[in-house]
Amino acid sequence: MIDIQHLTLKVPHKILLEDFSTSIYSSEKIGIFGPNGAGKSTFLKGLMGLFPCASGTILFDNHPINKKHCKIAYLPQDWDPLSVDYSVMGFMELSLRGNHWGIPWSSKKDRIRCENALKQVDALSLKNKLIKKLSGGERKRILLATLLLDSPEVVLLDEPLANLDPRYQNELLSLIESLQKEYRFTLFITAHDFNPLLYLLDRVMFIGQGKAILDQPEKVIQSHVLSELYQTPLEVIEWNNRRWVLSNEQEVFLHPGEHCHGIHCAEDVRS
Amino acid sequence: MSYIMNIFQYTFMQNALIAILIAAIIGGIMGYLILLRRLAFAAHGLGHISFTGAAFALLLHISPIWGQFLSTLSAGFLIGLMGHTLQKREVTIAMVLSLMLGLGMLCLHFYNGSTNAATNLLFGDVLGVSMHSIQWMGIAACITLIILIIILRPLIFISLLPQLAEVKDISSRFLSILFMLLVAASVTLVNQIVGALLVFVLLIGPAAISFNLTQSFWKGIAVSVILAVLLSFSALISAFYADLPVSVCLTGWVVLFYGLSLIIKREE
Repeated sequence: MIDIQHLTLKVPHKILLEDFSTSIYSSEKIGIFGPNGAGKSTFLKGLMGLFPCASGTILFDNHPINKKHCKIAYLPQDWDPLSVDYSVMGFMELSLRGNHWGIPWSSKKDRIRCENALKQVDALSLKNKLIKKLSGGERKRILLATLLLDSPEVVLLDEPLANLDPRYQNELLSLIESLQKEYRFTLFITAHDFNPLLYLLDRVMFIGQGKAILDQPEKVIQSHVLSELYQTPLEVIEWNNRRWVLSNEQEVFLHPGEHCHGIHCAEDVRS
Repeated sequence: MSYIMNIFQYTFMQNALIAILIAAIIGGIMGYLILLRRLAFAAHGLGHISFTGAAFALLLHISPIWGQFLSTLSAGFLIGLMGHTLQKREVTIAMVLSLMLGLGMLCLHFYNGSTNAATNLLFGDVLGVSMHSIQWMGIAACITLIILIIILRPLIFISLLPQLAEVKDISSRFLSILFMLLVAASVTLVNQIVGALLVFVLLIGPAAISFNLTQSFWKGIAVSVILAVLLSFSALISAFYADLPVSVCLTGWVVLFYGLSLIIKREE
């Protein structure tokens, strides 16, 4: 369990989060949303102990954050393509046990471990391909496979759907869902786009204007809550047994710069 | 073959061969890692800084290699400490490097010894390497390799997945500083062969060719080292027979092979 008590996160001249307390249970799936610059990524970094809390505590199973005691996996928002052309397997083997000293030799057992992780993300066919030649979605799969090598207890995904087309978004989300079911890790996932994610989440967290709300989707995904938070009129509709967030101009809320008019497009986004 | 080997009956050629082999092995390995960590510019800068250190040592009438070690290790420590912030300050770095070269020239201006000193520091003088320098090169090379073997796994990890390093409890800053100290030692070693201005040729050249030709880490390191050794050896032989400076011949060989590697890469 992750216990957050009176957490305050600050950047120069701005309070991102003030006096926030909550408990996150093991294997929960939490979606983190908020306007640009609200502090979603900073909150993830705070959870990992990479961003100092101005005040408050974050405890993992009643212990302060300690990377040795809690296996945290983190999928960064932007991953620099490698400066060299390594194959997927070559890259994964080099990423094994990165926190150990010595020479990165990999045994047959290691190679089998890497292949199994690739199988888990349905990317075994990519094992001999060069990372530079993979698409954005394929690269994210490979990174997920790399994270799985450590059997993480907590997985933090920072905008994994960014720059992916709807098909890849759905594929990646299905994959994340099945991996979470199998490994039972606690999942934190940040995104700008509510609609593809809502079905997956146990609770949603909104960060904005120094405050955070964390509750079940049906309680929080409401027009007046979102409109106030984003300071723009947003409409929540029920359609096809799911909630959809639309702007008041009946645009599906997609990534910044992307707009899709009409409810029919909402179906396209999911299908 | 005996025609080639005959030239190694001279002591200065034997010394040159040993020095060039040490520098090539270290240059080949470290160059590959420097490119992997995208630090080619820093390595080039350390070459300039080592010139100043050497010139200052000459002024104090001590062996230039000490001045080079001291100046590059101090600068390497600072570069490692500054980390990523340095990559955004290209103009500042260029100004600092120019200043260092200027200071080096100033030291040489006040130096009353051999007039060849400046040329040797800038372009190298492998044929004049003493056994004393070779001994220190050997010791520095062994220390560099031992430390590298210890830190290689986390070093590669922070190069491939820098954002994940801290999550895995790897201290990027500590490794960056340590790696830059190793780069500093390598620059000083390579400096003995090609001089301050051509450090790039032996330290980065073979590694850059290897980057164009290979697609796996171990093959990349192996090709880089083999190329560094072969090209340095060829440069030594060709310089002897053509009566040209070794660094000039080495530059020619490296640039030629780099061009060929680009053609091969394009055809692939």
